[in-house]
Amino acid sequence: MIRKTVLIGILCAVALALISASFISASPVKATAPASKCDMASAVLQDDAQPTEKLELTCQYPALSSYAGLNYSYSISVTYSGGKESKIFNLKAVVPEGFVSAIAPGYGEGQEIAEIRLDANKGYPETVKLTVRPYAWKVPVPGEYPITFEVSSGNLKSLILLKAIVTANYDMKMTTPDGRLNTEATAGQDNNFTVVVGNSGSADLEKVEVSCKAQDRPNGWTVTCQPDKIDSLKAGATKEVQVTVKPSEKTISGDYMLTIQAEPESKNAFTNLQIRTTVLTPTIWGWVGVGIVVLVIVALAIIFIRFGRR
Amino acid sequence: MAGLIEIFRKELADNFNSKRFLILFLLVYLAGAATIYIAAQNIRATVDDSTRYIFLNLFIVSGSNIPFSFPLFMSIFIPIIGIALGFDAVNSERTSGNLSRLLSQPIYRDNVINGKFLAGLVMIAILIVSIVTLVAGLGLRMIGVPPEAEEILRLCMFVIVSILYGAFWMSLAVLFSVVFNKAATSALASIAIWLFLFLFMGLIANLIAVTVVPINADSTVEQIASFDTLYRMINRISPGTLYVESIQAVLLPILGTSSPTMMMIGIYSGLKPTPLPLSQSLLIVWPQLVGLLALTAICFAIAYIKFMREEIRAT
Amino acid sequence: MNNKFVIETQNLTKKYSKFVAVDDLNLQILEGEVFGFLGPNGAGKTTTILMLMGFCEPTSGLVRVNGNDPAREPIKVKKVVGYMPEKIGFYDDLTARENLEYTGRLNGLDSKTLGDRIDKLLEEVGLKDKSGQVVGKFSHGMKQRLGIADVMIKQPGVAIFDEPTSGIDPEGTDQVLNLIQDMAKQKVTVLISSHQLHQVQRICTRVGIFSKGKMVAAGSVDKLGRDAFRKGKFNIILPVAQLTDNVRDDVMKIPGVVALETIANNTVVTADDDISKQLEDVVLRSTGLRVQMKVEEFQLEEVYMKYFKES
Ligand SMILES: Nc1ncnc2c1ncn2[C@@H]1O[C@H](COP(=O)(O)OP(=O)(O)OP(=O)(O)O)[C@@H](O)[C@H]1O
Ligand SMILES: [Mg+2]
Repeated sequence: MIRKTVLIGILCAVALALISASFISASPVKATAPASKCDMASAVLQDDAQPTEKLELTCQYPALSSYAGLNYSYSISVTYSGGKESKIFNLKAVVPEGFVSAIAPGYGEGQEIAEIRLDANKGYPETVKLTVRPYAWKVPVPGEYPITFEVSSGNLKSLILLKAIVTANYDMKMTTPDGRLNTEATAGQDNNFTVVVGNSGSADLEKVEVSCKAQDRPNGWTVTCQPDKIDSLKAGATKEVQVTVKPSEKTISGDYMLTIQAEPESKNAFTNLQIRTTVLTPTIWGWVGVGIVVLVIVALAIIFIRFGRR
Repeated sequence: MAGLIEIFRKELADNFNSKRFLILFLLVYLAGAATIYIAAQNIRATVDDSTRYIFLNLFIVSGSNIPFSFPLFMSIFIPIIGIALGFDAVNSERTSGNLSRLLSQPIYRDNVINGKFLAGLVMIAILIVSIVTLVAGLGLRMIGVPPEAEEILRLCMFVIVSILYGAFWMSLAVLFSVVFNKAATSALASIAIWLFLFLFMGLIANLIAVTVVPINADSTVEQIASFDTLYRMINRISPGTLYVESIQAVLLPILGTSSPTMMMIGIYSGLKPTPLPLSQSLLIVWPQLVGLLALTAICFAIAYIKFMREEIRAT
Repeated sequence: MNNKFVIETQNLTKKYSKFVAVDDLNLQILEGEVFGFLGPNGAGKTTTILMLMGFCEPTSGLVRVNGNDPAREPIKVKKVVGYMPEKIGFYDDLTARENLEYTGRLNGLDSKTLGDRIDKLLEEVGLKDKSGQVVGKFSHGMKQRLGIADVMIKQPGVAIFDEPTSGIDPEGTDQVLNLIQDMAKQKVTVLISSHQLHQVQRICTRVGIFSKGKMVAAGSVDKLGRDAFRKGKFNIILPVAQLTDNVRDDVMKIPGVVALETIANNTVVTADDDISKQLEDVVLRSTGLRVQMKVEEFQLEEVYMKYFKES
């Protein structure tokens, strides 16, 4: 019985491992293949041989603008005319470094296509969707990036120049170095903890102010951040900020919420982090309290022994 | 004098050795721990940054669903302890046949009753002081906010008033122990009086006050005030009321009057209460304290005179 | 010194509303006397004792114990008077020793003397091996014995026992009576209220008979007997019907002989002392006969009964 389940378990594990391995090995191949071919394709750009057969590429929005890190989707209409019958065309996109492209039918999702069969006398264009996206791990620098989309069949080829405009992306993140969102503090004393402010946008941030606003902390507490202003935070850079919390002298021990926020002067990005602060009984008072209790018990015992009989 | 000390020591030893008080002590400590636990759970909700006396709050706050606070607990337990200490003080000596023997020794007759009363008082004092310090210690450990000097003074006052309250119930019970020859009768009489005052006094006071000053939803503030005054006047026949009023004033520095009703009216009409200094708080409760003291003295005096004149016959 | 009255009452009266419990009592007890209170239940014995102790206030009249008024100067009185109440009780949860220690401390004894005295007394009353036992587990008689020790712990000058032997076994009674007699030998004035006439007769130098609050008779047992029956303490019965006048005269000459009478076939000689030896001699000398004699000691009971038959 047990052996059976173990066997099934092992089989399942092996199956899973195989499936995941196939995914991992598949993805880099797809990602690099179009990029390596693009240079050769761009060499045969201007050739337009057969005047009778016409291949026309149009795009209604050839230049797309988006925040860094987002995708660009172009809808390209391909019109083939003058031919006698249907023909198979190669589809190829040349994208700048740091991007990957994917070609898909204008309708329908998921399926990537590399070739397309076009009917010469169809009368209306076929739509192809070209999606260009930056590498997930590398946010592209803001700027304009040219993209070439080429459709070819033998000598008949046509290409269209597209443009991806990467606009600056302002985003910030705040975490703690170890990811813990709680800390301990002692009333009436300075307690330190560190937060990490990161620029997760694509543009540099200037004069980032790190602070804890009055409404974000319990009354009577002081919270200071060191530094409280980061002069410049490069895109992708992080900076450790030391937060010093001083709960008021008379804080009842227990959990309190603090919210640390960071915002550049331009106010085009914002982030905050809630920290659960556990105020501990100051050791001295804790001991005094325990001491009092012990004292009372001892005193009672003495009284009982001294004045009681036997 | 030597007789007094001997009797006092014997009584104290008796108290410490009796299971009755062992149980009572344990019960009080357990209940005290429960109250402090509830208080520590709920204190955060009642304290804001304008609260000056956080530590005192530990002794005031009650549970959010369980209306159980330290003063309430004390006002219930102290009478029980006082009665337990006094109800068989004299009659048990008499029925056991010890009284004749005791009084044939070279001691004054009042040494017996005084010694017993003193020993009882010391028991009450030990119990109250220990429970308050225990609660304070545990509370300090739990909330970590030390008391201010004035808070300590106020707690001392609270202890003194509580001892006085215990002394009253004990002297009442001692009185019954002189009057009734059976311990059971005297215990029942004491408990009956306590229950009556605890359960029905407020009801009766309300009834009388309502008949004299009828109030309803649209009564004026003056009417409510005169109703409240009358109601509390009648209620003050009960020493429990005197005690509760006293400890309210002592533990709630914010209370500018001994009437919480008037205080609420004051707050609604825009008066912001500011904490009173201890001397002012004491001034407010002075009549109550004197009243308690007088009641205690009267009960004890009657018991004393009755005992001094009574025939000591081994029955 | 010797004829100073240790206990003295003058016209002492105690009334409970209408009821007169003690009626115009005059009592005088000398130092070293063993005085017995006799009388039926409710005669006022205990009430008298309570007034002597200052435990209840006389309606009128005067009480003096060692010259002090028990109501005014209770401490002076209680310092010298030891009292064992009718229904004695101890602290049930204390041991016999602890109970005695408490009494001793109330008398201001230091623990050394106290310890010695307790040891001695517990031995005397026969509770030595029970000293560590809680009194709650004592039998009635054991408590009674402890009560005697409790009275003696302060080494009183006057000891008042209200029915000390009730509930004690015969052997214990004997021990207790011996103890009381020992006390009397040490010049302790003893006052005993009792219903056991034999014992009273045995140890008391004087008795007072109470009836309805009054002391109807007081004096030594002999005197009481003589008063009651005009008789001596001993009756010596000779189984001889008639004695000659000479013999009669000789017998009457024997010191202590009170009376001589003929009852049935016997001659009864009444005397204050046991004079059977002398009587035997006289009879032998005058008649040449050796007669058998029966000596009867006169009993207090008879006196007691006589008083209450009369009233
Ligand atoms: N508190 C009292 N109120 C009214 N009458 C009382 C009271 N105490 C005692 N008496 C009465 O006084 C009388 C004398 O009582 P006392 O106890 O002196 O009798 P006693 O001689 O000691 O009798 P006993 O031999 O039974 O001990 C009794 O008739 C009793 O009923
Ligand atoms: Mg009697």
